[in-house]
Amino acid sequence: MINRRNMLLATAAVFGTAQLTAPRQTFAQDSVFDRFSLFVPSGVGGGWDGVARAIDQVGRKAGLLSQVTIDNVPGAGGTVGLPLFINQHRGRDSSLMIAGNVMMAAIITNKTPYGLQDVTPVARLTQEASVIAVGASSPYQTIDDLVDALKKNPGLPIGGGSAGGIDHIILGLTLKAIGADVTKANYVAFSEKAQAMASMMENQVHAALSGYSEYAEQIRAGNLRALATTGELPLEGAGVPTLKQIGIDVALTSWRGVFAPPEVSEEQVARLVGLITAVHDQPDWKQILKDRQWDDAFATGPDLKAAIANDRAAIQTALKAIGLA
Amino acid sequence: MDNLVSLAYGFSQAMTPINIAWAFLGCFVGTAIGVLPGIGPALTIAVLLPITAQVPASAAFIFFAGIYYGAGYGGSTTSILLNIPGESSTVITAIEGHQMALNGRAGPALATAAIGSFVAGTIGTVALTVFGPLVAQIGLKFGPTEMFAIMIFAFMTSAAVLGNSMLRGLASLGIGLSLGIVGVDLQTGQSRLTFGVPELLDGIDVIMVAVALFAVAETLHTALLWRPDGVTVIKPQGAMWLTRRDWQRSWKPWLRGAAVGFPLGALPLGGGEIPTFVSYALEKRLSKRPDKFGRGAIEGVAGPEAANNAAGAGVLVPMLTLGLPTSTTAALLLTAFQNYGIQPGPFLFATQGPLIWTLIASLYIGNVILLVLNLPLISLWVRILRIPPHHFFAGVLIFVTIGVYGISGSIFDVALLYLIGGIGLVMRRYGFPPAPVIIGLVLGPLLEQSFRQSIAIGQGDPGVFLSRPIACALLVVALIIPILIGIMSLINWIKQPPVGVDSGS
Repeated sequence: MINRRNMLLATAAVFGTAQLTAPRQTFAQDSVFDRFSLFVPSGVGGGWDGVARAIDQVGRKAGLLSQVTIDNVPGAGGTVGLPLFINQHRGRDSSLMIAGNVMMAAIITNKTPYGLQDVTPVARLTQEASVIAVGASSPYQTIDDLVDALKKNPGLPIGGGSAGGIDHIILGLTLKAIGADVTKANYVAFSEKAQAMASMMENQVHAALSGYSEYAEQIRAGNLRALATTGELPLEGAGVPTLKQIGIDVALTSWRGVFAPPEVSEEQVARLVGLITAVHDQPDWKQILKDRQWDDAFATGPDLKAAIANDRAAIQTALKAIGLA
Repeated sequence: MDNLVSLAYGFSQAMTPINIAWAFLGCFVGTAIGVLPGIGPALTIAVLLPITAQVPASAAFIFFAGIYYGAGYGGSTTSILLNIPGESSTVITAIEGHQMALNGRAGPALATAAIGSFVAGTIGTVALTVFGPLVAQIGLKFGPTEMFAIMIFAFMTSAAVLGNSMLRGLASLGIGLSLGIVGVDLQTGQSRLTFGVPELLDGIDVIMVAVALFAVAETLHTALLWRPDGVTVIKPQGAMWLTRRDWQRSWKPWLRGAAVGFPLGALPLGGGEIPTFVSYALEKRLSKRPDKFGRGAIEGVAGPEAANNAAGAGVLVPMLTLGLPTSTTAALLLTAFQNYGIQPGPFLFATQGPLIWTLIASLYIGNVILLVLNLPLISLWVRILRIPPHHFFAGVLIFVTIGVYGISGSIFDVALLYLIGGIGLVMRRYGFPPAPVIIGLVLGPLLEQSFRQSIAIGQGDPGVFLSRPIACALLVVALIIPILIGIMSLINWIKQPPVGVDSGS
């Protein structure tokens, strides 16, 4: 134990200079979270798992966390792990679950009896806007061309990730927003990127949606053409408008954040918010965001609650329109 | 030239001491399980898959590649000395090689099998090096319609994996297809056959089914029905090495075996036996003394063994470049890639170049290691055969139970393992082959998805398959091939009795 403490002190000393400028100075030695648990309701190597491992890495290096365990319980968009977290971690003040709005959709489509209202939101960390793209030889030059075509025929095949996922939901919301018949939506779910890519380049699907980073390389190479992105703000470097900018009232990104178990007191939540805020303020965290091209979407407290409520309503509406809720 | 540079890089990675150690360990384990009847590379890789959570991807794939190639070498030993095919793909070797062993020529039989495996395995790996990236280029143009056509092609031509009884094979395939339906439908997000059990929403894990059918069922079968019926192991004696005459009779079959094996393995034909049968038939036809076949002709060992190992390299082509597994082992290797968050497919060479070239380089190295391991150590492998099977299988059963619980931490999965294992026992007892279950479970959902994606793209019009030239051509060939095979086997059957009838003497 003494060795471990010395290690922590040594680590703190090495990074002391960085900490001087950071606002987390108020974080006293006694607020190190010992025996901390990060619960990942998906498999090793996925997006949520990546966030957990980044929190672990940054938190331990900064001396905010010690003895971290990461548990992966994969399955069904997180709805296999969620009840386990609710029941086994209930009342624990040193546990966080990584999740995001993709799980909201899974909760609705899988009709699980519990949801994100059963856990305590702590912070939103990262987000990724989706891109609507077409093959290089597609006749659609702008998002308006595609929207006009969809208005005439909402049954045009549009590709994307798994059914009921964010891409599918964005298509549903978009069709609704342009006044097209959502029940006619013809969504082609691809589980393999290669298949989606081939279908776009050969113009078999008229367009496809995906997280921007998935297609970024092919867009830069000129094999795909981006038409629009789906965030609140235009994506830097994409050079295309958002749906909102062309007058379609749809703004949805896929985001990831952390949640505390149920029955945790307000002070305990505040302490966890402090911890994640401190992790987020580390230069190491900024570096990870940059390296992995994660878009910083840090939000806590009322902002986060509002965002969750907003997304839940939008996702519920879209899934209902598509026929999945 | 680019490929050569990449391959050189792969060698530099594969030649590190730790990776050589993984290759050696894989080859050793592979040979051992190849030698043991009833335990194949699919089961071994399924049982060892949890190591993917612990070791780097390159190490895991070097290890698995060693097992994959090693099993091909080891299987021949059991066939020759015991007349029990260690693997389905060494049935022919069991016929011809065992005859050689009975004639006191076990040594040359083992030697021609090992050297033939080396020669053809290396040729196959060279072909993989050359054709892999090419096929990936073509694969970039493969959308759902093309994938559907190529899978129909695979299903139509994979009748041979169904085993001796077509009806039982189809029943097994049906079980696999049904298991494949369980879970959330990828196209609509609706759950199917999950009965409200959240663990079933992601479907039934192919690894678990493989472990249940191959390990649990085999163990229970051994425990219930095994009789110590005094299997006699022929002790290799006399000359261990090939004579000049043996070399002369072997080298052409090796090369022809490689030429037959690689393309048949690379085409999604399914099953490792077909190349060996084709090679055997070819050698018999070309031989000046076809009457020697069935009585210990060395050509009948050299050709099929070579074909078997070249096919092993061929099978990796569709798996790596299209994400399309055509054998049980390939399906498990695909799962191993997915455990690392890597999706095999046309982008694999571009996105995971270093890993893939390291893997391919390790296949070359593995072939050399296997040649060295197999020939001088033959007495060691023979000794493994003396381990009483019940001891061995009891250990396997404990190992897989802990393993399945370890992956998921779920008692539900353990219960499911034994449920499917129990079904597997009944299947094993009544001669239903397990391989079609795995093929159905893996390819069924892929086939369904690509079909529905295609129909959605055609906005409901099935004509979409005919409007795409590659898809259309593949579908036409898929219809013609089984007809041709049927006619050919009918002609063969009329000309001569099926292989194996006269081998029981």
